[in-house]
Amino acid sequence: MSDKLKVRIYNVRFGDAVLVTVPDRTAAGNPITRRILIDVGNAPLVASKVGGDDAVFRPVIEDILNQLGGRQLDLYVLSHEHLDHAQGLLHADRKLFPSGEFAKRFRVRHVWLTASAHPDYYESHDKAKKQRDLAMAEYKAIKSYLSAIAVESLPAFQSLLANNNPQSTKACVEYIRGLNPKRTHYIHRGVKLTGKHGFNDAKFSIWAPEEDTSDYYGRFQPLGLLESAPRGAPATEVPAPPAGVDLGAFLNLVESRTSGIADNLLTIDAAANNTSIVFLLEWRGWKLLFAGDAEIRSWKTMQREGVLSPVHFLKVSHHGSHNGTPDGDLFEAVLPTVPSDNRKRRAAISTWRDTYNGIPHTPTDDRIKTRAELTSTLDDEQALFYELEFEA
Amino acid sequence: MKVRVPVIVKDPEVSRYKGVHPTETVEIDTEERYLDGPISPRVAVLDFDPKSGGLEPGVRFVPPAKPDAAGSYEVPDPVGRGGGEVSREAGAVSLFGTIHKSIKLFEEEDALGRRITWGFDSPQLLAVPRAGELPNAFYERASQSIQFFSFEGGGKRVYTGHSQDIVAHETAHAILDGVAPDLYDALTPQSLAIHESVADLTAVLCAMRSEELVREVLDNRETIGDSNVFSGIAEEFAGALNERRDYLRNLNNKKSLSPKAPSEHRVDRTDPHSLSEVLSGALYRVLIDIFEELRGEYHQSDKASEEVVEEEEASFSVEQARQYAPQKTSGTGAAVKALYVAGQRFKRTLYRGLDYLPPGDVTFADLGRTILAADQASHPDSSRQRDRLGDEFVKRGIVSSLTDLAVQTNFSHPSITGLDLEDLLHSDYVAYQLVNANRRLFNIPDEVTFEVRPRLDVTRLYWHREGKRMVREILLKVGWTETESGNVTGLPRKRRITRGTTLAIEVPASGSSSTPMIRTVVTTGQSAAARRDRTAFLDRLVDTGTLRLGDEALGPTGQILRGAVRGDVRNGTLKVVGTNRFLHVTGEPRP
Repeated sequence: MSDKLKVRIYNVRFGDAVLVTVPDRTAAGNPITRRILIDVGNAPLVASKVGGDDAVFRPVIEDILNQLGGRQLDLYVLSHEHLDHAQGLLHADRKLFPSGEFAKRFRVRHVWLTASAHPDYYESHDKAKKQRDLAMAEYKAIKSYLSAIAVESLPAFQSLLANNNPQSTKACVEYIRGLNPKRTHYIHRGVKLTGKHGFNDAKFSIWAPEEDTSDYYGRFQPLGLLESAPRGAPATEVPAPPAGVDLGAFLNLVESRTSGIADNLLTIDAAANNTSIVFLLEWRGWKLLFAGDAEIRSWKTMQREGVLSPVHFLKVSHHGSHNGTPDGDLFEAVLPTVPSDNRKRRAAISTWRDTYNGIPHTPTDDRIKTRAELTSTLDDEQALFYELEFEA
Repeated sequence: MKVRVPVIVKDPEVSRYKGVHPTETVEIDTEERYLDGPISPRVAVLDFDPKSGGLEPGVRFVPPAKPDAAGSYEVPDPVGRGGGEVSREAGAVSLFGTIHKSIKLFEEEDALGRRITWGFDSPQLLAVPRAGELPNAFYERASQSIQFFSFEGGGKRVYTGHSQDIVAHETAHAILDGVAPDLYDALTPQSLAIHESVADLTAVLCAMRSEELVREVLDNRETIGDSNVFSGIAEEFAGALNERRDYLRNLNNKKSLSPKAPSEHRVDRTDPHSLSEVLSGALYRVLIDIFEELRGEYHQSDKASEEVVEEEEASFSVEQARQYAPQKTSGTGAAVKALYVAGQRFKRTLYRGLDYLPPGDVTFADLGRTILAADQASHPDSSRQRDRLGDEFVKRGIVSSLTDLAVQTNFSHPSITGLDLEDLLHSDYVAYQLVNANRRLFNIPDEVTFEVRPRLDVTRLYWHREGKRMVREILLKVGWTETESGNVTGLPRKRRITRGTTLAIEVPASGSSSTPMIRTVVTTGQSAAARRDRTAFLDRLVDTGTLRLGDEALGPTGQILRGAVRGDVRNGTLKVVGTNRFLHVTGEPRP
């Protein structure tokens, strides 16, 4: 048995699928190989044929099953409820295998979902519920508006709309919950991990999310939609300016009345990203951080709660966006200018081009490269995966 | 051409419970033409149907019967005593009237003395009375508009465009963006708070121009110090948001920056709306004090002492002042005259102070200095308002001592002696040469590149012992950037901020043999407190997700996100722009 921890990052285009193979020990002290699978998903196909090509899933799933070799997966982690992290397993079950076959071959001992994915979460968290309800009302209004108009920019919004579609995500999360309902655990910082995984040598620390997710929501921009239900149905024709008003200024105003749509979709998107499970895996002196899609609000909370510390491996958050790896003292806390020891530091990005605006983000890549050896799925776009090894 | 339009007094709720007539007539005489809308060359009301998004037909303009008479707008259901629904036509016309009333305050010859220009490249401000569902209103430079939303509150629908306070507030934002455009990109919370404070004080000045409200105040008391009719901002709006709240903000306050102030008077130094209450409170206190002093003096005599106002400033009798609103005001002529004189004096020095503001990130102390300079220039012989302002700024912890407000005024300087001022006005090269040869005068650090802004040519009414006269000034503004450090989570430590200097030159009267004088020279101050405030404010922008770096400020369509404050990092140094992408009436966009 290899005495190396391996992080295999699959090329799922714009999404995440990460298999971690961990040399561990049984309770009796015998060597055993355990595996963690973190997310399987990519951008919704409807949104992006470039980053969301579902054809990539077949070889990825087959490789995962080969790696498991018929054994149960020890831990499946769904970092957060977004399709580019969640849709792969449901897709495999429904599209890649005859009915029931995938479920037979893909068995999981423990499932981790973010705390707010608990079916009763919003019944017990009033503040978060208010924010969530507001976000969903905004989502519905925007979706209704966008479906009522035909504008050239519509495709640009499809990624965000589809990725945040609560119905699509719900089906994926329910499928994942069903992988092992009795051992599905809802994770947040401070939760006790006893009984929530079977690892002995490897240690887990949960850095995020907070149990109360209400702070992860940002502000919404005002939209010139309707003032009463059903919100969203607008005039489908742009009105003409009255006499005495400049045409350009008028059209600019009309456009501005709905220009906050992108802001509001991104606010909804960021709120879900910030519920990402961020965990540190410590194994024989190595510190590996898996950050999901945590954005700056989550990183700031982690800093405020005093959980940030130097790591040897960073699974770069949010496909390499700037908000996923904030600069300054946050960056310094995780990848300090002066390393905490002599171990090599590495970072890995799973991303794709032409799917989301501003991602990948070259200045962020360059900044990470000043502190760690950076590998990206874009380094070899044809490769099924790349793998990093950590020797004991 | 003239037009007379009915505008809503204060707001429908206040006029109902105060028992004042809900509307009064405003005459607009500054525009060449008026069209259905209402629309003028500088203001267009565009009423979008909230149900469909379509544009409603404009309210019909009725031209005057004779060339020198006033036109009107056809409002089928004028707002009557006792309130009731405000029709969309009445709302649109009131909005138009209040915007023009606010513009006039700034443009009068005893204030800026020039036609204002907007902060965007277009002659016309667009006003949307029913912009959508939101308890807020805002000015937005990018869409060249002020937008007024409505919401359900207190069992009714409240339209922010029906509040004279809110309309004046947003109009003032739009005007100030033209007067001091650098405030739009400022990182210093006090710079943004100046915007809010000037907007609130403009609402007060607008209310003081309402005969209905003057009568309400002076009929019931002789003072304005214990009435909130002028100082209470957006009463109906605030009550609908929260029934326990009387006003959105009350300028008659004791808010302070002093760490020794009682906790209820302290403010959040990173919240421009909260912070603005300190400046507004200080300036409003000065207004009350001058009013009270004048009222006392006018009870004794037609003339106030020269320390308080210039004689020519109040060259009408108390008895004449009683004619100001003869049928309506039972208050004493002394109080009416005092209110008028104090209000005018306050208005002109505040707005002229804004004109003197140097480019870049300015603080309350900087504005204090420019107001003092403007007051000194306009009224060299009556210093009481300056003394009061200095005392109030010290008392509220805005400055630690009066020396922080010291500003040099009315002096000659060899650099402008013999200078062709027309060349200076029209030639960027001449302006650049003047500044570059006199860096010390402009306080520009060595080796720093600077930008000379377009010069302003203004002619204003001034008062001196020998009487009032029109004075021409050239305002020359220079800006440059400097680097400072501050630790903000997630951002580079170094950042760029803009500083600048304003030089005001008095142009000798035509045919005069006298040489030009420097009215004042004011440079943005530097303080550790302002730097700390910027750091805290940046932290807040990051925390709220408002600050976006580089391309992340762009949305999926490649256009800049509407609510994003954009930061760019070059050579490890951060530069932030668009901190004021919205200038809301309240910092609470959603309840």
